[in-house]
Amino acid sequence: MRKRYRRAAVALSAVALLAAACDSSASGGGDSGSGPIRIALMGIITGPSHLDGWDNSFKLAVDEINAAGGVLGRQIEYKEFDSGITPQAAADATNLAVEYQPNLIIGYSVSAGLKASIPGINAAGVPVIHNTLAKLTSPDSLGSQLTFRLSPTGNQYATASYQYLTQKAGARSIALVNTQDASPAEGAGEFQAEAAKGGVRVEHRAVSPTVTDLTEPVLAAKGSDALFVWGYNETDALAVKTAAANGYQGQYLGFNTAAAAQNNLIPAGLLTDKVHAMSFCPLEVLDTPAAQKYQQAYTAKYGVPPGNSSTSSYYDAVYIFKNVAEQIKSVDPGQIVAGLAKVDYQGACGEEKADAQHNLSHSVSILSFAGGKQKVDSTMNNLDAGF
Amino acid sequence: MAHFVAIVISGLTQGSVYALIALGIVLLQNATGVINFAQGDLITLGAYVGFWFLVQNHGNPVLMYVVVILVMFVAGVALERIGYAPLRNRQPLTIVISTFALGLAIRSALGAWQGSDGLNLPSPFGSGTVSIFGAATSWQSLLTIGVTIVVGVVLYLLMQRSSLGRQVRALAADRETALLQGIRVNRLSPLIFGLSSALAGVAGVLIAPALSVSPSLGFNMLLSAFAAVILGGERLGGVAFAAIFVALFQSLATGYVSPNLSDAYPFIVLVLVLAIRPQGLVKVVRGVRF
Repeated sequence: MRKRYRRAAVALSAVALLAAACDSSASGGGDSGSGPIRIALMGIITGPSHLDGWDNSFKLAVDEINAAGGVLGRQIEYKEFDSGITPQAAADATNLAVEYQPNLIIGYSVSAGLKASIPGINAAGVPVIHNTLAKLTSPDSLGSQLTFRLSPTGNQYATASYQYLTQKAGARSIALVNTQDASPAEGAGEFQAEAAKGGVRVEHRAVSPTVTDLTEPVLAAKGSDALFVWGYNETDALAVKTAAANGYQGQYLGFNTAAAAQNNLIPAGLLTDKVHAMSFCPLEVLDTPAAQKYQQAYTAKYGVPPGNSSTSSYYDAVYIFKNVAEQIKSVDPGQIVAGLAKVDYQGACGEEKADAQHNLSHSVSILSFAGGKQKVDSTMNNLDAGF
Repeated sequence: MAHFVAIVISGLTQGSVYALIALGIVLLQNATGVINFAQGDLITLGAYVGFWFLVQNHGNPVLMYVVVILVMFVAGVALERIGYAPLRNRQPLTIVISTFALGLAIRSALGAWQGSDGLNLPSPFGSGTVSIFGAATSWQSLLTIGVTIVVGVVLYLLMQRSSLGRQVRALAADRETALLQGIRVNRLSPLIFGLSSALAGVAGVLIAPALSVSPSLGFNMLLSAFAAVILGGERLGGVAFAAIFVALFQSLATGYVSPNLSDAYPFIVLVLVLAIRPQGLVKVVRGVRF
């Protein structure tokens, strides 16, 4: 009996030592000051929400920087982790990512996923540049100063869409249709608040993200000057087709219409001068020198022109990191965080300047499809992030 | 008036798709006793086959339907061979789980074949519409309703006038006696799986032009179709009627009661009807007995 207990004690001690060793290697291992700089790229790699080519912009930036000598003389290497669409998947992927001991994490397009990943991120002390929209992922809500938002907030999208529809399109009544998940619902709430302040009538509908029939919302929109749909590629495509089928004549603005059009989900004949799309980083159509340089480099590398995707901004994310690291001459996480908090960078997507809540983007573009060609119709600048 | 007509046509269109899905489920259940949880993914497969033929291979729109029916029939037979035949003598739950697993496999295979991005299957009529009592109605909606009527008539004739139909009806009426009478389910089941799968494929290519072709296309419609299956009982005619009823209820309630419960209405009507008539809707309909 004593021998058995002794063996069990030895085994348990070995397990505890092993766990401690693993734990110490997962947290605070840190940068050695030499060797490659590591970036963990979090994205939806598998499943129905995966988008082909989602990491192309990121890889383009890494290849360009490495070809030019890297960051502080060090090459960038990276590893991709599947953050999925559920909080648990994101948390699991984050735990794997921190074991990789990255100098930076880029990614997270699902707010709940980033929220679930914060314990792992805080434990590792790694700065994060993310693309989520919701208030849930503000530093105050997350309880972490390590995160920096590259995409506009839902508040900024709501303000931009409201300003465009009322000031440019002259709408005094708007039909608003949003899917019932977090970011669209939050954004729709912000939009309605703006409309209430401005005395604009809003006919609101909330639909399932997997909605298969938008006839009723479109019929309800027929009395409005504009129809604004905040959902996904498929939702926008369905809305445009249903609007056309039911003879809707007003202005149309969709959150994902550009991506839906690019993926040929919307017949070209329906992309009239009354159809518009929102985008914060329309690198495929911006005509700034930086954007054009990006378009040429992308086409040369991948053989196709760049598409509309929220992950296009990862190109700027890598360059922002490079810019900050070279200014402070360090990749120490704490110093990188301090540097990101003061960043003011003119990227391919436009100006990226950190505010007090670590929001880097303050403008949203509205695209139009006149003559079947996508172009920037307006850009709303100096948008307050709201949180 | 135009608003009401638009709502009704929208309901009839949705109901037609639900009917095609529900008919496939009930046909299979009557013949084999199997509830096929892969039916939704077979709808998706049909839409992808249509996309592959029409868009990627520049096929003829009319021929697309023929190709989809043939390919899906073969897919249904394959499903029977893999997911049903080896498990024929196992517990029904085992077979149900097998069909569910096959559905997931189909969904994954579609993602690997065509990617996960949404795809567009164009309607043969483009975006053309016709005015019906002032309501702009897409030709695709009318095609969907028309094809469903034709399919319903063909199924009726098949069930009433053919040996296959008599065997299926016998199995539906009294399975044990039918088996004792010598009906060979082993020979029947591949045919019925094929037919059920072909119905799903037709539903897929009819609904895909309005939506987007994505790996989750069919599954989203399957749950509402199950409401029709339950309400319609085990009669094909009853199921078709129930599908139209559920979709019209959903459409009218969304338009005139509350738009916020649109996805829930099929299940609200299911609960309401079963509370009043636990046997479902079938006996309300006289003379529809196929």
